[in-house]
Amino acid sequence: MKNLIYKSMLLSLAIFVFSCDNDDNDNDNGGNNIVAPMSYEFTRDGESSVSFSGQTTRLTQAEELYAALNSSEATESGLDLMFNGDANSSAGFADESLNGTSKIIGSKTAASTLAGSATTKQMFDDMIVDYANNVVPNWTSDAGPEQPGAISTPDGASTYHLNGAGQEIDQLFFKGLIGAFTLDQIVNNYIHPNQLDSGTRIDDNDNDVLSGDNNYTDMEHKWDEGFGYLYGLEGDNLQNAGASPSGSGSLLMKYFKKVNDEGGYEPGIGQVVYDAFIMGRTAIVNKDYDLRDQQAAIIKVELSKVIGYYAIHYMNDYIAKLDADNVAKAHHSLSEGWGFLLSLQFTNNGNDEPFMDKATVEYFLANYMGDFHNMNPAVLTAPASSQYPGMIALVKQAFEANGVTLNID
Amino acid sequence: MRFNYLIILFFITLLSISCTENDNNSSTDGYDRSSLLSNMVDNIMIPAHQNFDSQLELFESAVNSFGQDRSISNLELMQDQFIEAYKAWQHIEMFNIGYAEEIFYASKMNIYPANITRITQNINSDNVDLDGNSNQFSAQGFPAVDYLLFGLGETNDQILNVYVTDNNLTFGYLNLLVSKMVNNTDSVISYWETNRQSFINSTGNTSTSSLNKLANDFVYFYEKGLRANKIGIPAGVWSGELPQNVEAYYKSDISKILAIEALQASADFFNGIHFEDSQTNGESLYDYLAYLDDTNYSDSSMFIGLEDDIVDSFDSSMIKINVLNDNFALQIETDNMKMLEAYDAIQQGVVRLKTNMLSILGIAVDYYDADGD
Repeated sequence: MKNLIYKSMLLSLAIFVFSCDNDDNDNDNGGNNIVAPMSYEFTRDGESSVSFSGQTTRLTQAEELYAALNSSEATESGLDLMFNGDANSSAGFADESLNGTSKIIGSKTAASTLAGSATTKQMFDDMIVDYANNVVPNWTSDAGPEQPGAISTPDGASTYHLNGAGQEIDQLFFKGLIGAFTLDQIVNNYIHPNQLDSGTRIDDNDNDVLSGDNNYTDMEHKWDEGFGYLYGLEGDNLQNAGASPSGSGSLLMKYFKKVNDEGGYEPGIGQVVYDAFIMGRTAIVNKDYDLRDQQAAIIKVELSKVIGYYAIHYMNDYIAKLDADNVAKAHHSLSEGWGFLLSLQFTNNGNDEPFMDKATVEYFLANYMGDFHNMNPAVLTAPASSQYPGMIALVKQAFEANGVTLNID
Repeated sequence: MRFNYLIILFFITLLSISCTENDNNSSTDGYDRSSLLSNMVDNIMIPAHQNFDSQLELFESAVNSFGQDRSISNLELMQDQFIEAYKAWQHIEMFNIGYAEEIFYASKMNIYPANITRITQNINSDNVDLDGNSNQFSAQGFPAVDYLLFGLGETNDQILNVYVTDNNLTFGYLNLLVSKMVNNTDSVISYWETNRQSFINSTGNTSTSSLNKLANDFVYFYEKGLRANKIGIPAGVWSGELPQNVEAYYKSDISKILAIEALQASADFFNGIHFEDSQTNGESLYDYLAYLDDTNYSDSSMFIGLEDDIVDSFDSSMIKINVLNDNFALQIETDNMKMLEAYDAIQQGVVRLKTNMLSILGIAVDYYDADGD
């Protein structure tokens, strides 16, 4: 029933919104309401008031870090520098423009007020140590139980480098960052009142008090920063990002596009999220914070579904690769699945709670996915009706319990 | 039919939320804020200040005795009483309101790590203005005194030697810091004695109403004073590990005691437990939330049972802090994961207090979330 209400809300919200605004001529800003634009473009005095360059920087940094987590040249100190910076300043990147900034990926990893966790952040730091000290020195060894090393597909076309638990660190790390970094910063930080409304930000926005020398209010900028964690690498595609998100980068946008693609799990999600970001930003300009928060709730649920879809997708894919006797690909897919499962704790059901919480997720990862060489596939595949349902069924149930149906088997 | 009815109801609710102006200028939930305020002020805040004042005066007289007789035993008496005063301080740091806020009382009492360079400059300067600028915050108060009592040498003999050989320079600075602490504290207490009644009478719900300030300062203390300063920053949550940033670094085997005092003070404040009698409690934020819970003020799952969820957060935080080493610096160097677990437990309370409690109370957060780009 919640699902029905939620879908009705989605379908009807735009109509409802306009009917409300039209009836209300006595609005806060004296009737200067703007109508939601078709693309994420907002101006004040003829100049753009949109800014999310900090997010673009971080997303660009992430691409270099991703490559480094797949390199036999990587060192612990080098990786740590890229992830955590040096004395609160970014460092270690080949692209010099990414160094010496205040933008540091690690400082935004598992860092939101709502879902942040110091122990989960530590898991990422530990992965760097594991990669540099176990995977790299065993680059050409054959991977096996408790033996870090390489594993190749039967056709020899792909080789993956695994730690002693049979896990591919770059996949654990990056699929984990999709939740802990990009999704968390959007749904549990920037589009939440904790950020948008704290201090004098409501009063400032009500009275068009701009942030320093910038052309935006703090509240506008916070919302833009949330937008930037998804769309920060769109570049020239920004205007078309609703119907055709680019899939740029290796984080949330990459899988968001896959879900949206024709034949994907939920074509059309791209437009829904893009429109909600636009409508929320419009609401901020119009000082309508209830409308803003309704749009935030849509974004929270829709983006969280991306995590649900791909957690299940890669668990399924693991089983399929096992069935095809492709052990290397099976380890690869399970590594991706592990990261998406870790990401589940950073989802947001629209009511500021995760679809599946940290304790549940991390207990499962530690106890049932701690060694990929000794996996019992039933912990993933056991049906919902069985005494101990598998994780695939549990993830679907977790969304279903919040009125959200994932279109995936 | 029932589906349609619910959907219509849902939209009516949405419509009314979206299209009406909420009057936030008064507390409209029917709860009697004045009885809560009088319990907070008369049974917690003022007695906690008075207790701190007497502990601080005992410390001051220990310093005076040491001034007259520079002996190891007097040094140790001074050190012991310093710890008692520091513990008592944990119960009042959260009340950064009125005159305390005006004079930056909390900043002058407990900004750490201490700035040793500036302290050394001050010791060797004959004209120190501790109120001159904010750079002096970390050269005074408990962290600076911690350094002067425990950080000048490896052993108490070495520390004593400094005090007997430097022409009273170090003792002079210690004396200056202590009298500053006493004077500031006296002023803050006399402010509360004068303004007690008007503070209790301010029962509205605006940014300057008493409960709004009190609740904000309480949550701020829990988030920054306890979670970030005592645990998160030294454990490296936002940077590398910084064991030298623990509270009372030079006597760092009390860092756990101080954290426990601060957590207990927070739990007691939330529960309205009288400062002088832990068996007695009065009207509190717990009761306010329970009242809203009982009157079905909200049916959101975030708010049902929130008062007990918050108490659970205090309990689980206490468990996580209790397993730590008495010396947090040592804990960080040997097994930092336990510090991070304590941080996470406290963080859960921050979400419930700041995001859920302040929201259901209709109290705007008056400080910035520092987490920006």
